[in-house]
Amino acid sequence: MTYESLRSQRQKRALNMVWTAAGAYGFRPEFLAFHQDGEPDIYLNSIVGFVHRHYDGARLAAYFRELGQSLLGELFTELFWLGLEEAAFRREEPLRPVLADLRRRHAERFLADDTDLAMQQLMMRQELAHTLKCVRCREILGEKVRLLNLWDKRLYEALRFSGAWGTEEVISAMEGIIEKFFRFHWQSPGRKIMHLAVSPRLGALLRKILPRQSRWGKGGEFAPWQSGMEAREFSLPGLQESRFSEGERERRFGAPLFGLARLSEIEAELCRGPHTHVRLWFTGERGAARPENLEFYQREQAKFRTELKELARRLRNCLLVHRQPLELPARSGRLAPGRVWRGRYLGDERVFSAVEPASCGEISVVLLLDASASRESRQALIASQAYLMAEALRQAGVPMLALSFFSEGGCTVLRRLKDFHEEDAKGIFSYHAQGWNRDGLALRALPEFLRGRRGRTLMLILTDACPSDDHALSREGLHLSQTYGGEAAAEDTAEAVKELRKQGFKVLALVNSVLAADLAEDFARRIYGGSYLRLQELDRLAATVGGLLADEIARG
Amino acid sequence: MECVTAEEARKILTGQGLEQPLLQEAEAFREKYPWQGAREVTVPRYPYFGKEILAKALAALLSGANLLLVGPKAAGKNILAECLALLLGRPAWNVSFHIDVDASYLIGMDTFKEGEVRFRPGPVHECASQGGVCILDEINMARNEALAVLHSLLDHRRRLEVPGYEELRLHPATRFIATMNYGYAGTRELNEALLSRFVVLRLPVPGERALLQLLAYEFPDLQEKAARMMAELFMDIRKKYEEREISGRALDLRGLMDVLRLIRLGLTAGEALSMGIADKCFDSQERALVEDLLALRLPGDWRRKEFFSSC
Repeated sequence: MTYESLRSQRQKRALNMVWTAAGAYGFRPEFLAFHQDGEPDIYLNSIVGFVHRHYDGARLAAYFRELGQSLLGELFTELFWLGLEEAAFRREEPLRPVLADLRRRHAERFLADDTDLAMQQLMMRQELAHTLKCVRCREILGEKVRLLNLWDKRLYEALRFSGAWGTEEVISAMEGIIEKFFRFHWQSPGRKIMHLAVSPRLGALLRKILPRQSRWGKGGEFAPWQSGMEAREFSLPGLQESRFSEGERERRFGAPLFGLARLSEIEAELCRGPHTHVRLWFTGERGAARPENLEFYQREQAKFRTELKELARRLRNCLLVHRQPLELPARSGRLAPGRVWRGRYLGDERVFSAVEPASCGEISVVLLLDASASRESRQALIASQAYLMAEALRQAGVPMLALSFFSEGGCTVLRRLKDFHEEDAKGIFSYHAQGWNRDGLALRALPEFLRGRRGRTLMLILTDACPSDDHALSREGLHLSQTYGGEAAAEDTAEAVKELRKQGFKVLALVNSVLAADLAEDFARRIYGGSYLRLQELDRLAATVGGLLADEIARG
Repeated sequence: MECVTAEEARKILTGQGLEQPLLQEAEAFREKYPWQGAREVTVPRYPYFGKEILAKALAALLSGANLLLVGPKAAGKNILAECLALLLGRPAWNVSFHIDVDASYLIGMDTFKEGEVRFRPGPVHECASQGGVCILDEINMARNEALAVLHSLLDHRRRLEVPGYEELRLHPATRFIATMNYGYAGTRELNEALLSRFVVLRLPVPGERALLQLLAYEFPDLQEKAARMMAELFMDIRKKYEEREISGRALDLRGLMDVLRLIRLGLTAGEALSMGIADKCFDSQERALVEDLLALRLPGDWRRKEFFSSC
C-alpha cells in the first residue's frame, strides 16, 4: 500500500470515528487526532464527535475562532479542549461503559508517545497545555496530581468542566479561566490582520503596486503571473492557417498515431467546409501523469474505492442479466420434439430443452473528454472520474477507449489516454486542460479510432456544449469568416453528431458547464437533441455513466 | 418463536395491539379456509415487532391484494411474511428468486419418466392450487421476462394457462407476498406491469424500540443495560450503512442475535462481535471502521455475566 493511500485510509477512519460519536455524518471537524505512529486515536476523535453531539456546534466554532484570534490563541484553544474533553467524557461515560477503558488506553499511549520527541515537535507544542495534558493522563491512570506551582494547580482544577453543563456554561467557564488566570484583555492585542476599506479604483491600483501574499497558498506564496507562462495570443477572427508543420505538431503534441499519408487523407476528408484552414493531429503519446490529478485521486481514494466497487458491481450485474439464451438438451424443461425418438429408442431422457444464458453481444464505450482550458478548474476531478469509469468497465469486461481533445494554434488534437485493449487505465491521469475546443471537428475525427471494430459502440462526450476556437469557422464563397463559437459552432457540432449517428454510433453528451443552466441546455439540445444529460456536479460522473451504460446494455 | 404453538405465536403477534375488527377478519378467514393439507403451518422463528406495519400488511392480505414488502437488509421482510401466513392460518411456500429463475422453475416442468412426458409442478403451482401463502423472496433478483408468467395469477383473472395441461385456477385462500430490497447488489427495477399487481408496503429497518422488544423476546434474561447497548450498537451500524460509509454486511440482525448466543456460551463480547459482525466485512478498511464502532460501544472483555441475569 502506498503512503498516500494508507494516509487517506487513516483519515477516513479517523473521520468515521468522529462521525460515529457525533451521530452526524455531515460534520467536518476542525482537526482529527492520530497517535505518534499515524494510527487514528479513537478516544480523542470520539471526544470531538461527542462535543459536536452535545453542544451547539455553530456557537462553539464561533468561540474557537474568537479564541484563535487572541495572542495566546493556541494555548486557549488547547485549554478549552482539555475542559471539553472532561465534560464530554463525564456526559457519555454512563451510557458507554467502554469509554473509561478507552480513556485509560489513550492516556497510556499519550504518555508513551511523549518520549523521544523530535526537537521540532518539542518546539511546536504549548508547554503549559502539554503539562496539564500529561497531568490529566497520569490522573486517569490512577496517579496523584503532582503540580508544584499553585497557579498551575488551580488552573488544572478549573479545567474540570462538568458533564451537566451546556454550551453557554462551558464557554463562560472558559471565559472565567481567561479572566482569572490570564489577566489582560485578550481580544484587543495581537491582531495580525488589518482590514482596509478603499474605493474600487484605489483598490485596483494598490493591488498593482503592492506585493500580494495568500495566507492559504502553498508555502504562503501567491504567483499572479508565473514566469515561463505563455501569454495567450491575441488574434482577430479571420483567415488563419494553422501555423504548425508536422514536425512542429509532433514536437508539441506527441508522436502521431497514423502515418503522414493516412493523416493527409483524413485531413483532406475532414478539414474542409467550416474547418478548411485548421489541422488535425492524432496522438497516443500521453506524457507523464499530471501530479495534480494523481494527488487528487490519492487524497480521495477511500471515497473512490467505494464508488468504483459499486459501479463495477452494477455493470457486472447488468451484463449478467442481459445474457443471451442458449438452448441445451436437458432432462426437464420444454419438450424438444426432435429429440423424443432418443427417449423412446435410446433411453435418453434428455428430450427437453433447457435455456442456459450465454454472454451478451459486444458493446464498447468511447469516452471523449473535452480538454479545453475551460475544464482547467475541474481537471483533477474529471481525470479521477474518467479513471473510475475505465476501471469499472475493465472489471466488468467492457472495452473502453478514452480520448481527450483540444485545439491549439489551429490544430485540433485528439489524444488517446487509454486504448480498448489496455488493462491499465492510469494513462487517463495524463488528462490536461489547455487551449480551445473545436467540437465539430473532433467528433468527425472520432471514427478514425474505431476502424475495424464490430459490435455496438456507445460514445460518451463530456463537454460544456459550448464549442469555441480561436481559429475561425471558414465560409465558402463571398461569406465572411466568423469566429468558431456561439450558434455557428453549435450548428457545426450538431451536424457532426448527426453524421456519427448515421454511421451507427450511439452518441450521448454529459454536459457540465459554467454557463447559466438555460443557456447550456439550449446549446446542448441544439447539438445533441434529447441525448444529453446535464451534470451539475462532476463528482457523480462515474455513477451517472454507469446508469447510462446499464440502460444501454438493457436496451440490447 | 421456538417451542410455542401456532395459537400461542398468534397471541404474541396480535398482543401488540392490533385493532379488534382486523383480528376478527383474520379469525373469519381462518374459519372459512381451515387448512387440512399435508404441509405444516409453520411457526416463524421470531415474531415481527411493529404494530403499524403488521396491521397494514394483514389488512392488505385480507382484502385479497398481493403484497410487496420493500425494505433494506435487516428490515424483517421474511419474518413478517411468515408471521402473516401464520395469522391467516395457511402454510407458506418460499420461492427464492435469482437471476436464472424462469417460468418452469416457478410453475413446473415436463419430465420424461417411464417412456412418457409428465408434468412436475413447481412451488408456485403447488401453492396456488392448494391455497397457501406464496412468498416470492427477493423478487427483483429475477428478470422481468421470467416474471411475466405470473401476471394472470396475480391479477383479477386468478388463473394460469399451463400449456399442454389443465388450466391452473387459484385457490381462493392463496395470497402472494413478494419481498424486495431496492438497490441491493444484483437487484433491478420491477416493471410497471408486475408492480401494478401488488400493493406496496415499505418496511423500515427496526428502530431501537422494536429491536429492544425483539431482544427481550429472544433473550428474556438479557439485562436491560446490555440490551440497550446492543440496540444502540445496531443503530450505529445502521447509520453508518445509511451514510454509505460501509456496505450492508455488518448490518446483520441475525448476526447480532448470534453474538448474544455466542456470549451466552462463554465467548467474550470482543470475540463474539468479531465473529457475528465485524469479520463479515472482508474489506480490511471496512472492517476497521466497524471495529472502531464496536470499540466505542462495548468493552471487548465483557462476558455473559455482564449480559445475562441468569449467569
